[in-house]
Amino acid sequence: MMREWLSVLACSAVGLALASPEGVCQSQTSPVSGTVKVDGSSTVFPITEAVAEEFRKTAPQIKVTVGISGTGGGFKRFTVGEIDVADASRPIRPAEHEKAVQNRIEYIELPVAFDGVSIVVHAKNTWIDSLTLDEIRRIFTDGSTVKRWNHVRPAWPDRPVRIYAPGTDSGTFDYFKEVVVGEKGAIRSDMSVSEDDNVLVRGVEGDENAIGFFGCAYYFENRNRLRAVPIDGGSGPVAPTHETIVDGSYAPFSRPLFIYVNRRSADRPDVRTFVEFYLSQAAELSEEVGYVRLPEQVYETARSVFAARKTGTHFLDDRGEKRHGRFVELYR
Amino acid sequence: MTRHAIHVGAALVPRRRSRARTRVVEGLIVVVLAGCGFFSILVTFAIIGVLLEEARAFFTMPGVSVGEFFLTTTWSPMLGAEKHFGVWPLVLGTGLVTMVSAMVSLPLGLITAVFLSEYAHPALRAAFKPALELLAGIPTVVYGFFALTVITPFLQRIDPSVENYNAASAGLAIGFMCLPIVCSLSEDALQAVPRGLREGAYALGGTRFDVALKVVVPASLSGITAAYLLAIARAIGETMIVALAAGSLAHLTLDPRQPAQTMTGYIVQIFLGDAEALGVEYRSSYAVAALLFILTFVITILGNRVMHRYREVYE
Amino acid sequence: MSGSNGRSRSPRLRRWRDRAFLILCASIAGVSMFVLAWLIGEMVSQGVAHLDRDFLTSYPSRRAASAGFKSALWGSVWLVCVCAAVALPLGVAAAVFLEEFAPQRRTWRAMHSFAGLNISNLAGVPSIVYGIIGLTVFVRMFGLFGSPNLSMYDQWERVRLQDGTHAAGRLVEQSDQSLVLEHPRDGVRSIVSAAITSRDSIHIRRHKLELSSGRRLAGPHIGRTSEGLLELDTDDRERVVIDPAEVVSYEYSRVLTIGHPDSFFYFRLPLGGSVLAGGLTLMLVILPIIIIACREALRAVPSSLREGSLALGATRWQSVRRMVLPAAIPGIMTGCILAVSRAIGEAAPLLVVGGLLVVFAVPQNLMDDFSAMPLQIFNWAGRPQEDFHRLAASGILVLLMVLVAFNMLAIVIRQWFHKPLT
Repeated sequence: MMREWLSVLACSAVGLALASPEGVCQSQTSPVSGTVKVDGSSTVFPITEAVAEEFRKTAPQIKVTVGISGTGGGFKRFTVGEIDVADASRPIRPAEHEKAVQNRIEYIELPVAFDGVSIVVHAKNTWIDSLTLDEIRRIFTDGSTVKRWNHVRPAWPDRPVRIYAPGTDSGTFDYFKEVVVGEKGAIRSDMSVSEDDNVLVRGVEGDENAIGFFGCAYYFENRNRLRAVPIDGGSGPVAPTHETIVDGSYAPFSRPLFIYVNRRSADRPDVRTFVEFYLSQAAELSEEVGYVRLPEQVYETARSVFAARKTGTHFLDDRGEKRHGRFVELYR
Repeated sequence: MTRHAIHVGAALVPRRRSRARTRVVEGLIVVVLAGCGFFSILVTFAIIGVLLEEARAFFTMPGVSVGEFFLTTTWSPMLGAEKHFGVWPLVLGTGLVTMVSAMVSLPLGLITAVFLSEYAHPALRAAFKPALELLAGIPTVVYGFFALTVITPFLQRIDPSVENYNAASAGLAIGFMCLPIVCSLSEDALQAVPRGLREGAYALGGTRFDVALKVVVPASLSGITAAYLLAIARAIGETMIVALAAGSLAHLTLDPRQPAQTMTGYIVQIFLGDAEALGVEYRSSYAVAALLFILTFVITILGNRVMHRYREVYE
Repeated sequence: MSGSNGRSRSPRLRRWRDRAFLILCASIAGVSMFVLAWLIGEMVSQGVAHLDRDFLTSYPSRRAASAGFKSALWGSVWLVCVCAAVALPLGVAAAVFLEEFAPQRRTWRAMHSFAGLNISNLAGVPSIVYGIIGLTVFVRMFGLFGSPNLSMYDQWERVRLQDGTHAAGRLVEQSDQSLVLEHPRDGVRSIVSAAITSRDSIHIRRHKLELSSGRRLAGPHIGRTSEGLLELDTDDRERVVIDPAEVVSYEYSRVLTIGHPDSFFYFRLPLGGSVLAGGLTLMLVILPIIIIACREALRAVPSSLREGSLALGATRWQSVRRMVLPAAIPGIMTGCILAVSRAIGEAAPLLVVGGLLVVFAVPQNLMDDFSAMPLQIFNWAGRPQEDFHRLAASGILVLLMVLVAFNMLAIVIRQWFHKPLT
């Protein structure tokens, strides 16, 4: 009786091993193989997902797993060395940089695309023709008394304001907060919050009184259900389109998207191959998913930075404080 | 059968020398089995231990107090200038969704059970049972998907003010999920009523309606109560349906057309957001999980005790 | 009864009320059937379009048209196998103990009945709580073995060559023909692949160096500068530059791992977000269900079998093993199959343990990251595009078909073994 059970067990174990489609491989003579762990921003996720998918076609032996913990969540894991690549929709912050230094993690900062954070409303929302930065500030600051749309402009209807926003782990949230209320400010707390931008899209498209914000790729992907509000940053209302994001006129919400690579992981052949592939395909694939490609010279710079394994961030100075300036000037 | 037993028995009676050895081996086997049997107690202690420890760590963090947790009504752990940890919006969200589900599963489940037990032809019962088992066996993700893509648009057609994420769809889906539980447990309770009671009632001229509603149901009330309690415990602990369909807005509302965040929905939100941090938000999910566990555990214990009691009465 | 509240009721009125109530009951009972039919109908109508061979053999994709269920399907298979392999023996053994070996002495009996009661209560615990426990106990292992992230440590390759010697070092380059390894003392070596008999991936906990000056250094990370000098990160978090020529002796200590990440039997501690951790967490979820079902099956065996066997001089274990268990096997198998089918559909604990990952591969060993059918459905369902909803519906159809197959198996077993036990 016992013997039969044991043989059944052994057979099923063997069967399972053989049935598993990739089979059992003792990679003694196979080409580069390994696992690349990526996690972080859900804004950057569509690009990384596209790259991982295309990469699989060229190098099926290398497994790439992509998570969506949010930029903050990704950095938390990155700075303890748990993942090889962190997707980020904002540059690394001083506190995260400190943590990395403490854990002896060196990183290589690589931009991959441009994004324009789109402020969207329901497709049937006809009254919002544009929003000034000031109005945005009034709506979103913590303690805001704007509860109905006619609090913003008296001509607008008396309807409740419903907000859908990314969570605090989101780089989009950090970026938006910094632009709208500044580093020391705070955003109001009575919003529907989710790390998953898809959830936000869903929320806004189902509520005529809703307003939300997320990366422009999610807007372009759902253009028939949503309306992006033109933003008046001081020189007239500008809607987020490919052109306005590229030339920077969609201000102040145009921003670069990054990946951060662990320097020690970069020395591994599997990670190195993946990142080189990423940088070579980022222009094309980022446009395909709805973002905007960077100028070619920036990609060149990124490739040389990676090849030379230059570590550190271009956005914090030696004292660990933020540098300000145009992206193209800072990253060189 | 008895001949077989005798053969087996005869073969089992060992010689005197190896009888001692058999006793030792048997003792070992019993110890191993006992270990397996008591493993579940270990699991319970692990649950209580981990949750209480993390909840304690949460409450000892600066800016957090037990009083605020249980007495205030704003839950905004991540946004705003100050973090607020009043748990009532989450509890109320859970309550709202559970209430909607109870309005579906409790009455419908009981009446279906009455139908199956008192009225239905045995062939019909035999056909119903597997269908109910199937309904009970459908994974909750499927119900969540159903709530999001079918129930919500359906509700929106009836009442356009229903939002894309709302408590009603989730509640209805959970109700359908719990219906088989209520039905099968109630039916067991109804079936456990001795035939003598029924036959006496029929003999006195009662119709099936009279017998069912005036004799059988009251007699099995404790079993039905147990069924209700267990179904509610299940509804409170449901995660995937609310994660997909109910939204993530933690506010005090009793309007099922609006989104509502439940305790389980919040826990999922935190664990999907970041899994490595040791900050206040992360710990708060453990505190919420501890509260959730205590709630469901108490209700389940109550339900099991009631069920035990009614079973003893009739056996 | 007819005159119980003083009002006289005509028989016709009462019959009519009886009939009306019957119709009410029947229609409400029909509601559940209607909902079931509606649900399945919706899934079929939305999902059947995508359901083809390609769906089952391709990986997820950003384009709905080419996305597939392969990684989720095989991930589920691995998870359920691990779960069943642990839960089934544990559950059956526990049920046997609780039913057949009730102790005589009072204290033990109290514990015994407490264990039984405990299991009914555990069955009602929300599955996400089990996920949280799984995260602490199986993924992080209470922090006892360090972090689950082996990327913290230097990862080296160690190979055994045909002539019996070993070589180890950091992997610099890898191709079909050769392997290039860098060793702190031996420098950069190129090894022909054909000469390799076996290969391991190891993680270095600590490097230990002794220099010609007598100085001893130790630390977790070692690297090489562009000038060819060694750079050691010491335990005190300092960085020391060393001339390789000064190194007198060198040795390293390893982190516990067995095998290579690509091999079938790769194992490391702590388990991290691996298939093993996920399977063990699922085991926690279904264990109470298995125990309860098996206890029912054992209870259904008539006590005459036990008593007869005991009367003939068999010990308790012998009676259980030879008489009771074989008689209860159909019930036990049915219970186990139903419990396992529950495990297939669980998503919440896996979300907590593994996270929502997009995985483009099938698990190759127990330590791999995993995807699972319910998780992939959850992922697709959360996207706003209609195409992904249809994909989710196709995934649901696959999942339901698997579950129906399991249920059928249980029913068949029930029928097959339905022998009257006199």
